[in-house]
Amino acid sequence: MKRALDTLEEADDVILGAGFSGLSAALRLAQFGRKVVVLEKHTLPGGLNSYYYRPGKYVYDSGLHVLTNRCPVSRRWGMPFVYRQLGLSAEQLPLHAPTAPSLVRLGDCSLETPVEGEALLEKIAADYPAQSDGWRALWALLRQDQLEPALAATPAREVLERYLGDAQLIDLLRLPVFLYGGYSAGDISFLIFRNIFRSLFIEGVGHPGSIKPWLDSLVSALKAAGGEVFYRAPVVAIEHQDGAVQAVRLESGQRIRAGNVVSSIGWAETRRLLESAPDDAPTAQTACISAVETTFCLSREEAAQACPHPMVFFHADERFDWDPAAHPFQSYSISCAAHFDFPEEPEYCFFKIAAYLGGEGWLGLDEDTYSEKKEAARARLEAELREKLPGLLHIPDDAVNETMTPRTVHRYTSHVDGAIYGGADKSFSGETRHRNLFLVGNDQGGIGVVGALISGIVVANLKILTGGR
Amino acid sequence: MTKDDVKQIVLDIIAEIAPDEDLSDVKPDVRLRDQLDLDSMDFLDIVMELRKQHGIEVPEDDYPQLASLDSCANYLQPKFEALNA
Repeated sequence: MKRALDTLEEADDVILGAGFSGLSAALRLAQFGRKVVVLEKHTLPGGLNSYYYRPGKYVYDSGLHVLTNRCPVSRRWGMPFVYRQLGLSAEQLPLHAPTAPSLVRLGDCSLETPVEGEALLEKIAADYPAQSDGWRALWALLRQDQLEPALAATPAREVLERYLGDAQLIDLLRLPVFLYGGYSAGDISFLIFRNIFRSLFIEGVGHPGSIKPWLDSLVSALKAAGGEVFYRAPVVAIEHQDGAVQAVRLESGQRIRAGNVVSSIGWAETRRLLESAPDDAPTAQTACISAVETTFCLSREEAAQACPHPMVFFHADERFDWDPAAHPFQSYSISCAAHFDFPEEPEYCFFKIAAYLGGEGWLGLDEDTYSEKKEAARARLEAELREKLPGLLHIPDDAVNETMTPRTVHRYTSHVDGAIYGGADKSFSGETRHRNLFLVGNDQGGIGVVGALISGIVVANLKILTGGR
Repeated sequence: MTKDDVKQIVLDIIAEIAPDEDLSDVKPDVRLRDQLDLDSMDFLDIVMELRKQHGIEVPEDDYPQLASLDSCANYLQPKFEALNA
């Protein structure tokens, strides 16, 4: 069957990847009348945050634990910015509030994080009276829209230590942020720390019910604006000359000339396309952060019994050091959709348990070896959590479940070694060495679904719609 | 359409984009950025709303023409006239 893609010769903007950042950049550009084409390797949109079907009409969310940025602080940030810039409404991209606090747990030390941001500010001020002044000053800084460039680039721990003198409190604050977006071992920039902390705790987590309506809204708005999305359309090369990209080449050999290329597939992965290197060519990238995760499909009542919090951020050691490749099965992210205020009673709720690890060694295995490795990881994940969080979690023995590994992440995202937050090497400006090739998504610093949406908008605005002026 | 009509259209758009801004005393000859809390993304939104609400296209090279209310009126009035002709 011939499709419209087969006759496509050129576009103003070619977007690589139909994840949230790619769709967002595409929608913004199409709304300005540009000819925009999104090329997606997979059969569905979403990238890491996609969905799939299983018997019994279950729609599983592949990556989603929770969404963030529920309560806006400013029109320039988070959902108000996304809604306005993409011309979408809260009905099209809904977020439902949690009904219970989340839990940060470091060894035996716990911090319950209330649903409302201001309540967390006051709770920590009361629990750590000696840190109260520094904590309030830090909170004000985390709440700001603009950060000084020098401060934005400073390692997060260094900034936290300027405000706080309590090592345990610093670790309790770092733990959820790194679990939710610690893209490299050791430390991350204060800019990304601020973005994630503000999204998770100041604006607060929320749940869409399912990620599919969010993707449907984006794709239909993109089509209405004249943009096109093609699935099963893997790009194998980006042609370039004299510091500018000229065209992309598809697996079929088809060539599409491009005024700009916006890549959401990752920095290292984009470089491979510039060099026409194969998918499994080695990259200079350091060990990637990935995860194994089991999703249980439960009734709301069963899910509420399995876990009393919407989110649990858990690190097994007393001190928080972030290096999942060196220390796998030490950090865990747990989510339970039973604890959100959905307008309609959901038919089923997902309870997800995930352990962080390095992604190396999961690709290129034969099926038997992979199955054994996956089963061993699944069993260890459950056993460790049963042992380490008895009384808190009640992991079901015989419920319908699905396990995801770094290989699954790689299949959805094509990220090197199934990296869930992209590579350690980022281009925060979105610029590359080629003047009309830009990065969006994880490797531009867009972490999480809302971060990815913002990344796509900002790069489209600043690099293409205003030509960098 | 008069220049004052055009200015009002631009002010109405700004009121939607930046609901917290006080627009009662915007000086027509002073750059909008110098008297209101607007950044380059907000100007893109003005361009977008002109396109969506009024069918007016502002090419990228002409974005500087939107600097003040007076320059907006001078630049946009012929475009509105052409549309209504």
